[in-house]
Amino acid sequence: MLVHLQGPWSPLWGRLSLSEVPYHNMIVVGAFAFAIVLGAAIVGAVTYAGKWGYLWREWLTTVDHKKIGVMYILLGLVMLFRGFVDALMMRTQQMMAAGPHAAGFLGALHGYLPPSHFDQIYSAHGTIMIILAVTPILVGLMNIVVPLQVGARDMAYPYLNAVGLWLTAMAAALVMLSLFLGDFSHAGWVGLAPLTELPYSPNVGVDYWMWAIQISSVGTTLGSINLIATIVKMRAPGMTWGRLPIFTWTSLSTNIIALSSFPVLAVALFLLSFDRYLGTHFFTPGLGGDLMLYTNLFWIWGHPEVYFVVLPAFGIISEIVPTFSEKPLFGYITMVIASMAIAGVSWSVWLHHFFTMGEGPAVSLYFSVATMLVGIPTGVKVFNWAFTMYRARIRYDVPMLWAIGALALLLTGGLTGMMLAIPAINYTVHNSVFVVAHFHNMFLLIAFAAMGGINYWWPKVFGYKLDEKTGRLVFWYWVAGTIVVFVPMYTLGFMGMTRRLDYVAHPSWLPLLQLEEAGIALYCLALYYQLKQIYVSIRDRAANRVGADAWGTSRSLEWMTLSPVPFYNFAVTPVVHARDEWAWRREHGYTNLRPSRYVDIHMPRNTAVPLVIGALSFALGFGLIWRIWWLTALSLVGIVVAMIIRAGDTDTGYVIAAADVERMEKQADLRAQTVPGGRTGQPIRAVP
Amino acid sequence: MSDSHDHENPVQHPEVQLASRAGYVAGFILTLGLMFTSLELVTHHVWAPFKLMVATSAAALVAVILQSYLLFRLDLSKAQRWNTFALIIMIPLFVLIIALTWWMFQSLGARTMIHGMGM
Ligand code: HEM
Ligand SMILES: [Cu+2]
Repeated sequence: MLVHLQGPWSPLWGRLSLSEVPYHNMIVVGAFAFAIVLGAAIVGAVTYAGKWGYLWREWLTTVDHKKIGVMYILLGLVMLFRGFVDALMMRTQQMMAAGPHAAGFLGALHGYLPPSHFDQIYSAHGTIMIILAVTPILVGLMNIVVPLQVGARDMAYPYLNAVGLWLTAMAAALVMLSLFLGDFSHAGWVGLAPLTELPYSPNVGVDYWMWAIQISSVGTTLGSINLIATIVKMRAPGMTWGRLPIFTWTSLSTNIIALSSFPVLAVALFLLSFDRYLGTHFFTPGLGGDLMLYTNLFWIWGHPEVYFVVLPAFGIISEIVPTFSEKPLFGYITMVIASMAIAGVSWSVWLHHFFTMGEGPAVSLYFSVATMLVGIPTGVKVFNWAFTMYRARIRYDVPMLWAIGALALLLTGGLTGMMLAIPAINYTVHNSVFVVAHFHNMFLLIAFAAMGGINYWWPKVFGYKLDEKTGRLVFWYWVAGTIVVFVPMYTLGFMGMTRRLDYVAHPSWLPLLQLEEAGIALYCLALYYQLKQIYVSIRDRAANRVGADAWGTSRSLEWMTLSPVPFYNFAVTPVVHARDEWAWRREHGYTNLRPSRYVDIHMPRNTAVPLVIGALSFALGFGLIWRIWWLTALSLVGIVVAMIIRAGDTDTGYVIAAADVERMEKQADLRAQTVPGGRTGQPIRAVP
Repeated sequence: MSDSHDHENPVQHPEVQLASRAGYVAGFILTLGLMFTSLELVTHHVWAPFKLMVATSAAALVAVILQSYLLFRLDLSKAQRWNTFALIIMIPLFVLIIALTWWMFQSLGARTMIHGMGM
């Protein structure tokens, strides 16, 4: 039943052999040395500080939505770094390999990366950035903020939440492992069919790509179920649909998208695995298969996926802009409708990714019009933000800078998207770097919003603000890098440069490629200041402590509880009286209320099962990739057993007695008195 | 305190309370019957292909409805409302995606396949 493989295979080791370690590749060896040193340093530091127990109890086995959110974001930032290194390598290669006289190094004819290595880098870059960097950062922010905004103690399914995290983390681990064992896919992040088929990609690269995505998207799907259930079922008394903060609304629409689209990706990839493992012909033209079937399925997921990542970004902007405009958001209802409309339209535009397939003018016209319709709700949002800022007393704090930067990017990215949505234009620039510039423009909008969100909610999670001065430098270097990389890239796209080139045939493009490399240098500076910002902020945290309302003018429920948020979120479940509850309380002078009576709090208990399931899925993925069937079977059985054991565990929660809550709240009050603004936060300016 | 633990008992969940043995057995037998009938119709080429496709699709639809009612107990009660809602909003999506896919490949086939070999 299994397909016949080229190359050796043994029952014990599968396709694994020592020759799969690319020790002859200097770049990989360097990366390996870096990973070993870094890993050893981390393990050494944790051991030296005696923190293993702490790490296990407080983080690895936690089900607390805030800690899970922090770990998601940390994972995302680490993978963002990895993806950035990939980008740096690609930019450098293209700059070095322009024209037939370009010198070659390290075994490459031109530049320093042979085609097989370059191809793996762009495939890894895209997969990592979209699935393992941007998505975890956004999921992490939703994880932290949504339960707080709806006034819940945790997510609806805290245990499932941890499972989602560890599945995502293990997918990232598989992608990282492919650096040092075997290779990674060379078929692009989209998995160009039929290049992904076994005859054209006989190595394990595509398998790494396929199973990593498969595992992480199970995590994302579980997370979407969890967030939807939390928003529908866990709202505090008084938190009606009409009072739900916009970030929560966008989280809802985004997770509806995720829940309805990720299964399509799973199906596409399972069909591909049938082709690769069982010898079926879904996507090979032989025996009735059709490669466009893959492209179709991929983009049925792929386009909704881009809205899955942009909607939370819109939500973040919608929280930041009113806070720093010191005004309620303009057009709440239209914002909600626009978020839902974007989700709705996102299901009916996917063909714009393959207009050039040849489906004919009628079909193209439909998808072109449908794509352009997205501009309407998006435009509504932009005008709402603009009207919120109009005649406001805008404060340019770091989160606000990121939000405004995101708006600028939305404009250029959205307009180039509109251009691409016109089939006639699309035929000339499809598969050029113009498309690459368009979607980087869009993803940068998302990254800007995410950076704004991290700066905005950091004080809520950790109790102190991030350093302002270095934060501004990070922002401006990102802006400069973005302009200097992507304006030349748009230009090169118009000049006809196709995407994914390891060798650039036109030396006349060289100056623009060199400019892009200079832009990458600016991003490197941004990275330096980013690390410095975190270092300085942690060092000076005592001076930057904040009260509950870190920015003085924030509006929603999460700013009502202490900063950092206690593990039980709210001492008593808040009762909501208005949209923008916290602003309402501030205006009515209710910021210092204390509960007259505390009640017992029921909390979920820590568990190691999610981590175990994660580790077993890693083994499962590894077994499938290398075709080690005993390992595959064993880990699959292990996962089922772990789930059964967990299902039989009835003692999954505990109770904090009312007296203990009261004691902890009293202590928090004492601590809060040392913070400017006391328990409620700093009055930056009196609110009218 | 025991109160706060009640919802931990899975058997107490309203969805679980809706379970019924008769419903399960009926749902199982009816859907098996429908599938078996479809199989028989197809293997014996009882009708022309188009008619067969319509008949099997109709049987599949009836099976889905029977299963969602008899096995999953989806209805408009307070406990099940959201589950039913989730299923129903999937229907336009499902139709949209199948219809558009069919349309684009039909059009593609007509333009790129040798005449008579397309769809
Ligand atoms: C919302 C944020 C957006 C993101 C994250 C995004 C992302 C992407 C990505 C990743 C691709 C191409 C991927 C690939 O081929 O590897 C792409 C292509 C495209 N985008 Fe966007 N996009 C966004 C918004 C838009 C908008 C608003 C429009 C139009 C109204 C649009 C129209 C297009 C079109 C037509 C293509 C296909 C270009 C081609 O391959 O010829 N996009 N976008
Ligand atoms: Cu798209």
